[in-house]
Amino acid sequence: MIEFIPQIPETRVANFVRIRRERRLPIPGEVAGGVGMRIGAQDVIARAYPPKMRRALSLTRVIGVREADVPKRLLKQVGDPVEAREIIIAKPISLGVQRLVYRAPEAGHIAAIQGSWMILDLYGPPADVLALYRGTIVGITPRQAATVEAQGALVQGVWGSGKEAVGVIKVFTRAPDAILDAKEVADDTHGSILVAGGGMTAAALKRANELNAAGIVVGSLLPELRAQAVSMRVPVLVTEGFGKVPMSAPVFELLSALNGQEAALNARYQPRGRGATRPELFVPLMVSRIQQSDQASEAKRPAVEPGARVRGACQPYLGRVGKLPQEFALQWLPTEAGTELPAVNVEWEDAPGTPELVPWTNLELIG
Amino acid sequence: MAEVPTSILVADVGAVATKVGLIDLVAGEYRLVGATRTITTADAPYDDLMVGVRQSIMQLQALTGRRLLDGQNALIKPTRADGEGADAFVAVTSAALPLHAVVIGLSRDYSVTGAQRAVDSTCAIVEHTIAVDEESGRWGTTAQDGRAGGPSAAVERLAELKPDIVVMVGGIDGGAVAPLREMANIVAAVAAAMDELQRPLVVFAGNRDARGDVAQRLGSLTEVRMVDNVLPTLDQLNPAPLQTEIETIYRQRQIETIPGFDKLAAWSEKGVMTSADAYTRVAEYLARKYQLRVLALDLGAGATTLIRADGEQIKRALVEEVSLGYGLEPLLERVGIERIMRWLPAPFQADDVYAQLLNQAIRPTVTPTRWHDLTALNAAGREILKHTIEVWRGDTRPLNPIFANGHRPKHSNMNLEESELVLLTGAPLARGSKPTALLLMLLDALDVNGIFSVAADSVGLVPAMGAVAAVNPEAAAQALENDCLVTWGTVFVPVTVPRPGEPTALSVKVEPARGGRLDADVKLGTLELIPLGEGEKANVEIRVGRGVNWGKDVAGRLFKREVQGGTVGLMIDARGRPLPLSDNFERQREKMQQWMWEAGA
Repeated sequence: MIEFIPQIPETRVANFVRIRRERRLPIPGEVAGGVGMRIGAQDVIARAYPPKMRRALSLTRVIGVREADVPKRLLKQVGDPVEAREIIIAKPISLGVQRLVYRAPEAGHIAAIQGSWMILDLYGPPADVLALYRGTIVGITPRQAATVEAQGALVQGVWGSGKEAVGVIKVFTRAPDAILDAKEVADDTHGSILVAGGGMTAAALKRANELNAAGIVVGSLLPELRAQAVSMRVPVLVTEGFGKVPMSAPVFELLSALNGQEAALNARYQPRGRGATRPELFVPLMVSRIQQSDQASEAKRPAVEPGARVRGACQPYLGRVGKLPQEFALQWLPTEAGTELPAVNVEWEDAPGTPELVPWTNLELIG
Repeated sequence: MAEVPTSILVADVGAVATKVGLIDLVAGEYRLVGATRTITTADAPYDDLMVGVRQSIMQLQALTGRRLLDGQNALIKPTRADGEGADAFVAVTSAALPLHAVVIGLSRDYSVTGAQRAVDSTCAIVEHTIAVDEESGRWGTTAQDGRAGGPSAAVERLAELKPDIVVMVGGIDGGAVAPLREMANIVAAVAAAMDELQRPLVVFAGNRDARGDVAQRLGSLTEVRMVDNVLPTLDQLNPAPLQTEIETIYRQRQIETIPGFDKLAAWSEKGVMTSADAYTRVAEYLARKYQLRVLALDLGAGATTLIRADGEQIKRALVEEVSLGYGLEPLLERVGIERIMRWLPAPFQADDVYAQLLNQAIRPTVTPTRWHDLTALNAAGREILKHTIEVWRGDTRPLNPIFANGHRPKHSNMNLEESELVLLTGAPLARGSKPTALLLMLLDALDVNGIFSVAADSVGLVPAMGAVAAVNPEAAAQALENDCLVTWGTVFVPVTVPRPGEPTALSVKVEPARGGRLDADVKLGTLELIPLGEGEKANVEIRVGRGVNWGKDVAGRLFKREVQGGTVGLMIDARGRPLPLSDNFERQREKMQQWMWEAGA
């Protein structure tokens, strides 16, 4: 028996939590609002003006002028805006009868000139960062980010395709292992966050994207659909993993209970490092029908303790949910290599009365 | 702390797992008295690597019955009279993300290649390179015939990326400065266009006569660090100063900013080394002590390290972009599932393997227990090793004669084929794959031939022994050899020139010291596994057939020597090198099945 039981990873799936999320600009810009301000999911919390494109030109090559002559040939300076087709630099040729010029391909501004090199930023649309989480601004990093605190229901995923959206949850499938096909994606999908327990076919993903669904939440995704999911405009969140894995019971139950409610889908996924983030679906408290009052107690973080709910984190028990026994301890489980792994008897919810010894590292807390 | 600490607590904070061990004197010898592991907690929701370190120490307390933390969860240091605590604490880490670098130099074949090689042995990924001697199209089209020219795609790519560092190289010392001025103008223009919060740090490792011009153009825009020229003369590569500077930047910007790192460093006697540096010391030690050509491999969950040491020189590659954990997703994007499937026999289905690998990438802490899943991971391991070898060799870049570390070595080329000791540590061992399966993985991926030993890290702390050596070299050496390393055995890989119709490649005779005798004929194209236990010795005589030899190791066709066994034994790999992979996918998978049976994988 192993006397000390170390921590294992956790996945939050809870009907009422308090979260803080940083909303960060891709490049420095402007952050709106102040600490204490209430903010809606679709409110612009920060804005930057990234160039659509950065043109890098060697002015000596572009119009054949020596580096020393660049300053006197320039008609524009650093920081100057330029219109489309406006001449930036000109050099007389043919004994001064003509000029060789370089014109701005589009509207923009001169971002930098160093020696003979110029960087021309072409204007693009502003990059708006939505609050995404309806709540209160609790912190600001000037020009870079704002932190929002919110209360509501949270479902963390294990993989996301990137991108974010706000929409209305629409649980399509009645069973957590049902796979959604294209013909089942209704025409009125626009603005919905489609939930399909067992996953979606390639055609269904395509149709949901074409119909401007707000987002997609699936229990699993076939590996060959990963590239398609990443390329779509619609964000995709996976709750269990890749392959054919049904959505786990606590996730499916909570999403079914939240059917019809407005939610924020953040499918950004960065597994490690500063800014590590897991994809998640969040339903703010204000519109939640689960809790009636702000005073309701938050679901505490799952902890390693008797009776704690756990989920299988790899095959052959990926997505299965069970409980730690009331009197549990870690035991040694032999592996094929002759080594031993710490393991615990898990009582699976779908097979009560038949506990299974599962390596401790292959479980995660869920709740 | 005692003058030389006799009890040492050692921690290795990896990308996925934190391992802790306790070394102490037992009957006059240093032994590893206990080792544990838990998840690394540097990222959310813990955001403090010390949570994992303390949890691992608490496990160790429970395992050894020895209290190591006090009531406030601080280290008990030094060891108390009642035996509680430890004299010293050392730590290594591989938990930090790599730096992202762009290399800009004058010449693709010389300075850019030289700089890229220097960066390849550090914890930095080169995302983009620019060479001034490329065809003029890369620099934008030039004005002609009354028409203006166009922009430069290469520089626009630099402007798009947001690298952590820009490495500028080029020009021999005392050479022309003008081209470097233009290069500095390019980097300065790109940096000036960026918001100052996002500007990269610049490291200049080119012609020292250009330092003033570089500083003048860039110094007001961003931090610039000057190091000795990576190519001071055309025939001499001097990567060490650039490598050292990149490692310093990596430490300052990536390692020291890991949440909780300050506390780990405060506990540690000699600061915190990178796992790669510590492992390099281990390889160097083994190479010198045993006069062996050592090939040390670390298949980590966050990065892959290959170190070749022979007592005089060391060459290392550190690959961050693919790994057996987080790096499985980029591996699949790089090579595709088919390349991995060629290492798996027929029953394996591509969809299942693809899903298994992606699931391991998103949950790298899990430990698959099914043979099927472990075998799929080992197939991916082969492709990771092959890529790492390419990086180590620098095969992807043309090269003029270049000598390591700035001086000409006695042997003009380090190569992997002539390694005498292969050392393995990392995720595959932690996951509990069979040694025979991992040995086959190594043989499939490495082109090592001749006769060599293989040893593995039984507890995940071999790299950390390099840090232990800094406080007590004797303790490191003894714990390493007594408890951390397990010998798998001796491998025989003859160099074969296939001769059609030749019925027998090798005639093998094994006479264990304990008695008995085994005779075997090993056909060309096959593997033979001969049991010989750990600590056992045997006289081995192998007579090779025509077209077969041992390379430089053994002259003639007869090998006769006493060899050591191990947990695997003796493995004879007569398949030939390069490995005879079939272009026919189905045939290749049949071969894999046969090889796995023969190797006991």
